[in-house]
Amino acid sequence: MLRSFDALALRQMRTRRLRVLLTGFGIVLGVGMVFGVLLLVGTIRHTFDQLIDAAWGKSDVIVMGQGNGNMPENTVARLRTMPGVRDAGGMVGALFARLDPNGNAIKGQKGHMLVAGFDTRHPPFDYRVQSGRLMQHGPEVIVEKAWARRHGIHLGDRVGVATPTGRVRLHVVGIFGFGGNVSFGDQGFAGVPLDEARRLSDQPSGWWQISVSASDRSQAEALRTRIAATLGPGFEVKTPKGFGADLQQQLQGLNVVLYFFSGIALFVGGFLILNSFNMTVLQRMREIGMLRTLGATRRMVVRTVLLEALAIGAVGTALGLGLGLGLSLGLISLMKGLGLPIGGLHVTLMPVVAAAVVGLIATTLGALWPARRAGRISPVRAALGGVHASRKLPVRRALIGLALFLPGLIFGGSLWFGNQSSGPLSGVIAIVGTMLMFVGMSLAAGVIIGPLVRGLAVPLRRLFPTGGRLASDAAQSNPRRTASTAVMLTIGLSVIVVNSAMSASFLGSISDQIDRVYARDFTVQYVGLPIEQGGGPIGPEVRREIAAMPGAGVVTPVRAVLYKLPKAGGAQPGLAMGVDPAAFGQVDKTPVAGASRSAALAGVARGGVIINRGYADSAGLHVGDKVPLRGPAGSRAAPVVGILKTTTTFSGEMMQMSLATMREVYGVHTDNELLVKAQPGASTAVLGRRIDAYVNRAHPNLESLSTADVKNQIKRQISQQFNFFNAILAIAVIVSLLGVINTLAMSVVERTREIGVLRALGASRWLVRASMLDESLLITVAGAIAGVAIGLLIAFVWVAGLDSLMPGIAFHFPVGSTVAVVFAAIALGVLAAVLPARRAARLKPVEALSYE
Amino acid sequence: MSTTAVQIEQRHAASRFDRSGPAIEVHALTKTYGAGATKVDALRGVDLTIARGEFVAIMGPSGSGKSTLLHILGALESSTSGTVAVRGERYDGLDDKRLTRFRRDHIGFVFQFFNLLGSLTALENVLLPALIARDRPAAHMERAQALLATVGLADRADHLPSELSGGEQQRVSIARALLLEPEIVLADEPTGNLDSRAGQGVLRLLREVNESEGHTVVMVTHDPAAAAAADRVVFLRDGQLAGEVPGGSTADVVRFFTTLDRGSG
Repeated sequence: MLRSFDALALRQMRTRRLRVLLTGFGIVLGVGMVFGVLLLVGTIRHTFDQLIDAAWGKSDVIVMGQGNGNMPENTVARLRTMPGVRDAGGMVGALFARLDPNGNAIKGQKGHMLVAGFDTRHPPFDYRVQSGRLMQHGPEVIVEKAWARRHGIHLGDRVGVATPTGRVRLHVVGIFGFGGNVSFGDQGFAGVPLDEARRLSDQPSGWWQISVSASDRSQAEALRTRIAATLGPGFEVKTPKGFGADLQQQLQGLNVVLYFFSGIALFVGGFLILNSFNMTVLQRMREIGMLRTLGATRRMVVRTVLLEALAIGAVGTALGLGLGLGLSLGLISLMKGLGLPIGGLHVTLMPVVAAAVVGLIATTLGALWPARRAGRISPVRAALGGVHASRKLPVRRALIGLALFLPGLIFGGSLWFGNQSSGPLSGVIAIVGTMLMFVGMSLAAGVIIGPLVRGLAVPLRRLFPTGGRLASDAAQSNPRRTASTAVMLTIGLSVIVVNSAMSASFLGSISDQIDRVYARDFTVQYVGLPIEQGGGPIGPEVRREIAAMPGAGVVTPVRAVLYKLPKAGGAQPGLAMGVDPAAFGQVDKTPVAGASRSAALAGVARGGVIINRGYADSAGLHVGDKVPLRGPAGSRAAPVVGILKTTTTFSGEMMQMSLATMREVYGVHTDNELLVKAQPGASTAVLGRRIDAYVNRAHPNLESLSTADVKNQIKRQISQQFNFFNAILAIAVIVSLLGVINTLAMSVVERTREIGVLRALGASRWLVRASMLDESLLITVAGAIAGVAIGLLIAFVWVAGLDSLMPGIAFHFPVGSTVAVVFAAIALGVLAAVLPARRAARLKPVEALSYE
Repeated sequence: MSTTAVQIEQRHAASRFDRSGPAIEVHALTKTYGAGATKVDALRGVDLTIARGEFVAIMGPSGSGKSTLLHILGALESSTSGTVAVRGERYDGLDDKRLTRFRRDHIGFVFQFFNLLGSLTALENVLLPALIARDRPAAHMERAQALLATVGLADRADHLPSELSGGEQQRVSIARALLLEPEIVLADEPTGNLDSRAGQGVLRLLREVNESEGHTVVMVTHDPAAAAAADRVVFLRDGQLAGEVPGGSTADVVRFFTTLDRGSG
């Protein structure tokens, strides 16, 4: 028994079960995505905190050199004598590669061993030996327990590793755990005696990291300030929490993109609500008019619509939270399987509230417009019935849509891909601008999609005479509904196309650059660690051996430090590259602005730096300005002698300096990359084989890459990220598919009588099904073409706009993904038609004919 | 339906209309749609007075403005100029909110297409006006059930409209129109969607509602037989009154209607 007028709204939902389900499911998917991502990010963050707490829980201050540089030998002693310091423990860090039984380096994260060399009397991190004993001297090692178990390493084993100075077998004398029993994933941690570490990694003096414990833990912050002041510039002095905060900040940029992409599914879900309720209101015009004749006010009618929407939104949000939970659990176990360090699911209140609020907002916003329209329905409609959809092109709307679309089009590129120097604010602006673009797209949709549908109808009618004609009439009889259904697909697909096009453009531009400026034949690097990721350690003998090979012309080292460059904006670390100015010019021909290449390199030899466009822009540097370089070994002001004119393989801020400068300021003296060029006249193939043989034999933790290999490496890296994003966007496309089903179902209802006539005249069920399929194809293919066209337009303009930040970037057409997208649209069109086609075919002719 | 045809006749002859003030007064009513080239004058100065307790039928060819007149009477639309009043209370210049309230309190509507809510039972449909007026349904339960009995559907109170015939649905909508005791009942082609037998039943019901309960009824119809059930038949042509005929005889109605048509030449 109905108790109130508001309860009417809920009762009405019963009569439109399919539509309510389809609409609600859009919200479920959208909220699920957003919640899942929020939980995942929250869990990662929590894991970080846990890891840092586990490893450094007992330390109060962590001291490192600026730019991960090598701190002077006396630093530990200096710290120990400072007031307020209870103890200071330093360590030397090295990266070893584990070897398989055949003596080859195990590729990937699995084979990495982060080795700390330290004095066990002054441990630099928290650990507890659980079996065996501590290492004492010589090639003894203690390994982390979870990693040992994961890779089948036991007490007493001898583990073969490749170090910067050659192969070694380490004797496992102990197994330890970090405080707190946290898993570090596949990341291997090990401890070796300090002297052994120094010998194996060729770091005879100095420290990589020092942990300080305070006599009074409550005064930790004050101690930190004091230490920073005493040591001066060139050192990074932080509390463990401060460290964690830095690392979290670096993830921030990625997080923003992740949130946004998952939010697109919700946006399309809100759009689905809009379309669905518009259809409902249109269908119910007579009914609503009747309620008005009975005395319902406009406001009451609006409330009815909003109430129904909220009911759907509330249930959808609740279910979406459940879905998101499952999704995040799945992603976490996926990450664990890949060996990434991640703890158990960490659920806090914030993600729940945020996802729920966003879900309800999307629902309400989607229902506002239809609710307003419902309120405007005149009571006369009770007698006159509904209106036919207008066939007029909504020109004014399209113009407003265009106005909203243009700012995002013009500035979006630099907002999303330019240096994030304004921090989170520019992220917010980028998101708002892009959302406005979507709104603009939806408003202007009719103008684009209408002609598209008409155009597509022609070949369709040719192919399927009867079904096609029916379908095109149906689609064109209500152009607004057709357009708004198609535009849902357009939005999702356009983002996928932009994603793919930007990825292809970056890849293509970098590839072109490499072809133009690389003058080297081989790149020797640590396995899986290109210079753009900081590279791994390469021992000094490698350079000597290769230089001594017949046919070797230029063998020049490059050293790298990843850290936040002086005066740079943004949270992402920049890259400082140390090169040999005398030889570098022979293996790299990147043009420089502000000087000739040789003059610039000469300037570098005198202590200057060459920077890339991104750094110049974010730090406001010009040729001649001085960059304050500060490291643990020294400081100096280096003049900018040139600005690189092309896109660099490193996506952030970059600076090139001489090897001497890098050593004198940051204390770096280990090679991270060797660039090899064959002697003129010598065979590159032969030289390449020689280098491969040597590396495999003596230094299995290194690899030698040809220029083609380097390009593939970059391609893999960029593709991975963009493919991941495309997977997330696929959810938005699925939501738009729900919208298509919705529209088709409505179309079946509207055309019931028509279908009855057809069947009475002898049309088969198959023909009726086919006409549904045709209508679906019209909508989805039109939406897809619009999506591809708009996506390419956006990407093209964005790439053009990025030229100032990333000189030399050019638009590359993503052929593969474009074709894939169109095919996907066709497949989706077929899928979406299945249910409605079945319904249409099942209509009994007699019943259909008498349908009012 | 307990009254026989004879009894209807007797009551008809014996009743005196309540002359203590007209139920509806319409003066110089005009309604224009659109402007310029697409201007349509639906009503061009209509004067009409309907006494309390009268049953008036409004007839006319299509385009005569009869539906428009009914809609304005029913406070569904506003007139362009002129006055409309129910029991002396004018409602031609009211804003939408006040018009809505006026409608709710004074007018009951019966439509050609029944307009019942498919998801509600017959009883719930009858109670709908109470819900809209924000009253507790319990307060009107007795009256709703009595009304359903009056229209002869007491045993179908729990049925959904899909389970009722066309005639039964229309009777439910009549019961609904009466729930809040409106001053006037307006019927827009109430028999238009029914077969002749069901239609007759509805007309008998409207007559009974008019006589035993004293509601003023104004009905728009194009069916002369239906119009004959009224006390008075008023004709509209081209937005203006074109005469009237007392009810009772279908033949008279038809005759007048034909002259009207012929007169338009």
